[in-house]
Amino acid sequence: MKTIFSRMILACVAYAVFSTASFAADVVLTPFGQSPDAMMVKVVLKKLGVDARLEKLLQADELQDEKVLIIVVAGSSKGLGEAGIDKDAEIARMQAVVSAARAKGMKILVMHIGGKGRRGNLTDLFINEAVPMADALIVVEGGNYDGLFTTLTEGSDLEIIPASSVRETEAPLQVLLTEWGVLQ
Amino acid sequence: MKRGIGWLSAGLVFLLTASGVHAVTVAPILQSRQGMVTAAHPLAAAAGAEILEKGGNAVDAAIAVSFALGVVEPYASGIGGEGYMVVVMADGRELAIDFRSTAPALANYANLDKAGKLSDIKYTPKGYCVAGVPAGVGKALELASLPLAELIAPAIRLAEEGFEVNTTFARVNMDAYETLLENAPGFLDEGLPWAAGATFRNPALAKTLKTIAEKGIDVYYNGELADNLDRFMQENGGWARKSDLQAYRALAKTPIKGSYRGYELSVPGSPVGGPRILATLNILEHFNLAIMSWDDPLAIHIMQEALILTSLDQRRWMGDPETNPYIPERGYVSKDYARQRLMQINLAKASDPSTWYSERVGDPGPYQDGANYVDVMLEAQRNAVIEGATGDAPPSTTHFSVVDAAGNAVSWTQTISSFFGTGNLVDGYFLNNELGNFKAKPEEGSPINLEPGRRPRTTIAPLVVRKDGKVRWVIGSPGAGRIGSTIVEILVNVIDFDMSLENAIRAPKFTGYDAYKAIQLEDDYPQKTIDLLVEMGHEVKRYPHPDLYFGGPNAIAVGEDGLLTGVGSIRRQGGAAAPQLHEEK
Repeated sequence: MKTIFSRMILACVAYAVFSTASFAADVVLTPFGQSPDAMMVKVVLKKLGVDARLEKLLQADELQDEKVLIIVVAGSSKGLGEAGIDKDAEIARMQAVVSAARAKGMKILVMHIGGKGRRGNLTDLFINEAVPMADALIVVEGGNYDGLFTTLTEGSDLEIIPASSVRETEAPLQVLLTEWGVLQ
Repeated sequence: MKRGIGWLSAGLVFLLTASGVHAVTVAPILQSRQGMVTAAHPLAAAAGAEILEKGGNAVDAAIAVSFALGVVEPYASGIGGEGYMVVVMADGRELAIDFRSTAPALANYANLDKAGKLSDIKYTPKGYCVAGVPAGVGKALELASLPLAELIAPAIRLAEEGFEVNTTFARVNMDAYETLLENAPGFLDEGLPWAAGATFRNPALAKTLKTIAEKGIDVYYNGELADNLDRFMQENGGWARKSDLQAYRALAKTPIKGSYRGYELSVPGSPVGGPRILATLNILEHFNLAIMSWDDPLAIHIMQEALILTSLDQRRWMGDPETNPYIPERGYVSKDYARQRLMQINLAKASDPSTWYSERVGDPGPYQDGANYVDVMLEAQRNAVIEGATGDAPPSTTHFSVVDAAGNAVSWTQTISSFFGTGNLVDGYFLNNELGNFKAKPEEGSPINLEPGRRPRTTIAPLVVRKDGKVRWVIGSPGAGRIGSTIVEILVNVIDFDMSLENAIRAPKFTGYDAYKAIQLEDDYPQKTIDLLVEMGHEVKRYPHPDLYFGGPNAIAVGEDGLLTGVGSIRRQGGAAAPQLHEEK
């Protein structure tokens, strides 16, 4: 807990982070499963100086000139309900977005940041769809507790990049985004 | 259908003996003769044990735990919340303290219509009901032996010095991220949820607690803390005012009494879940569950059907007795009414959820004055009809239990309704969102229509069980609509199935509640049990075992020889703590 002053600063930061950016960003971010986790990734990206565009229901024709698509995977029944979309439509949305991103030559990063608490039948359905789409994969500790990600990446070149917490995804994000030309 | 059970405890228990060392011992499961505290967080349990170690009684320790939980589980309870406690003193005094929240004067259907739906205001200041925890503490202080400042001190220390965030805190914080980002971004860890292992401090709450310690409980309802809340409400569109706080009173009542197979139960009355526990056990008493087992599908079926019947009655008839002219609580908990109700149970077939509200709601009214069920049934078969049901109760809440060396016992449940309540933070504590427990729209005759000053109905049920006048168990649980079933199952496990308290808590749980059309159960029942339940017509929904969804009971067993066994919530990283008092020479 911070002081009142630092709280005010944080509130301002939060407002700035979650306001829609009015310029084309290098990174576009979307949840796969409609959990709020993508917002957390946006906060981490902000710390890296990356103004990512967050679109909860990003469509294929809404991709701009971004270099990187980040898919934050975690199923939320509440989120799907609020978004007015079912799991099949969510999967179809993501397949179309990834297909369009591939056509544009974008890099695709899949992230699971919720640990064991963000696993379950619904999330696993989306994970199974998402992992084969990835150029890179970041998984926060606990998310691979049963080896699901290990199984899905077996036989491919895809490596699981671990992080101990959401905050600790900053380092691998920095490496990947530098490698992909977003950061200098 | 007894079988090898993977969840069965190996009996790893720390046994304390008087050692002459001034210290507090904390473990998930603990035994002691010096007093015992169990709570949803080991640090809160330790705060209570520290007070016992200093010579405080069970009530002193319970007050310390209440404040400490508000620090270490700010998402589940605190001084912005409410609750109920049952106190059984060794000298025979008994008290049920109702510190449930009340609807503010401006909270009425006319204003609600202007604000939108009840669900729309759940995470806004309008969702708040006047908090009762400080007043409940004030009432409990009448049975305490140490000064308030000494009892708050451990909580102030935790808030100032901080503590390590555990995985429950981290998970709950992550789940509520959006609400907190919008309502209380300053609570977050630089914009992110608190991760397990981080150190969490709350200097604002420490300052608030110091103010209470210095100026007394009244400062919360009449002083600067009331002014701060009033200002926040006026600036943010809330309905509560300082005048609502000034009007609030915690109520000291006599616990409702019941019995089950020779054990005596003391529970809180309506508008919380105590009467339902008694009503359910009254039905179950007619079945010889002891010859069955925890995983026998017939036992599960009988308990499920009984729990459904009592939840239907609770929803129709129970409410705040202070603001409702007719609450047939005595009839609801009468043994004769249970005889009539058990006739509704088909031993071979599950009841059809589509008929629950139209055909299976009972009428305990004729039993209010001790009528015999034969007379009532000969006179008329009465079936009340209600339309629809209110939404599911919130999943938050916390329960703790205390027994001291003298045999005084406290069973205390407190809550801010949803995890993080409204998500609004004032003076370092979260505001409850209990208003959501009222009817979304007025319904003629409903005991939970929104009315200023009324206490909403919830499912909490802290209780004390005695045998031959001696305390045997102190039990309670969070878990919303699962509270009643979890507590009943624990009692049946220890009384009928002769389980230890630890195994009774650890055993897989299932739900029995009218808001759930399926039996929801933890996935450690034999497949044959589930197959037969499905065959009988039950829809079954499976969860991992153990799962926080099924509650987090923190309970104490008192052996016939006086040995105390504390079991911290297995599903919520709870803990038991005991003082290590000097051995008397």
